[in-house]
Amino acid sequence: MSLTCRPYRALLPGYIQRELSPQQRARVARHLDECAECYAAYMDQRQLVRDLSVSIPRIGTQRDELPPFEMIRAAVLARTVSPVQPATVGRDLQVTYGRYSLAVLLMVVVLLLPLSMHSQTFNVPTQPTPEKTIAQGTAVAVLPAESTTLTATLQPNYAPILGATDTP
Amino acid sequence: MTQGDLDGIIVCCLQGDQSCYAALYDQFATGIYRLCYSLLLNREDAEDVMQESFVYAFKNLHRFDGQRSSFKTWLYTIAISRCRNVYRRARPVLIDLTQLLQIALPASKSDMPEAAFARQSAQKAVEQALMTLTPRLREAVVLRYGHGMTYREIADVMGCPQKTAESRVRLAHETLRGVLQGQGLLEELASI
Repeated sequence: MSLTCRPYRALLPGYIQRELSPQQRARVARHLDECAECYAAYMDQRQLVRDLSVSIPRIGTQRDELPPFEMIRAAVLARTVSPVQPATVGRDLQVTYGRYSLAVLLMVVVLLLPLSMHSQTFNVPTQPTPEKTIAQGTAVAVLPAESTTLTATLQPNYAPILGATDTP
Repeated sequence: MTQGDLDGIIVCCLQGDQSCYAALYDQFATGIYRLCYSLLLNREDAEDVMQESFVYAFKNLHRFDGQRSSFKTWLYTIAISRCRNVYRRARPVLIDLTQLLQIALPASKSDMPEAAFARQSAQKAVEQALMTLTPRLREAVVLRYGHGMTYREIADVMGCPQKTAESRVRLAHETLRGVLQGQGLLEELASI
């Protein structure tokens, strides 16, 4: 196929099925008169178009290929066209409202939960009392007032006893 | 059925009249089944796809916009889309051993006239040649020759530009010619 033939070959299906403009049709016809190769291709394609136009519409129309159209129609109608009862609609609406109310309630609970936790009071631990130092440099824990005197009596007395001697 | 009649039936369907749905089904069932069968070449699959297509179309009839496309184009688009789902499904490839081994079965249809038998053989040859095409080329050629659609309508159904539809039909032509010529069937078809 020469380069000049290429555009005409692309137009052949349209030419065969009479879908070209009158100008295009005239150009293709003129080329087919002059080019034996393209004319042979045209005859070939015309035959194929005829065969396909006869054979393809027959596919699926043979007796053993036909479906039970009425059964399928019944199935289609049963699945699509169901009469709507008003009572059913009311019940559906009730169910829908019930579901929405429950969802709203849950959302309110979820939103209020952190707020209720925030209002709770906690006992903050008090700071421990600092230790007092005694003048001599010994650390003594300061006890509550009622036990202060007791602490003083419990202190060991290391002071020398007056008049006592080491001799037996 | 005129366009006006069809519009009337669609309006009637939208009002919930079951007999109008039945009339709409009867109008298009044969065409949709032929389309599905030509693309899938399997009766069970074609029946399933036809049923699913009508169920979807009837349930979504309120979405159909007559300004954008004809009802036929809309319904064919739905059916083609479901056929594509079937192609995608992984299926075991069934091989016809008689075809593979080129076994000539004894002519059981001895009572059949010779010409009719030859026509049936040629018909089967075209069906088998169709199966050698890619799904897109097969769709284009089936819509063109099986349903007489224009390139504009084919483009609408296949969801592609018109030029693409034209080139798909042309490519399908070339492939089919090659396959049928290779089997020597083109001459046989011409002689029937």
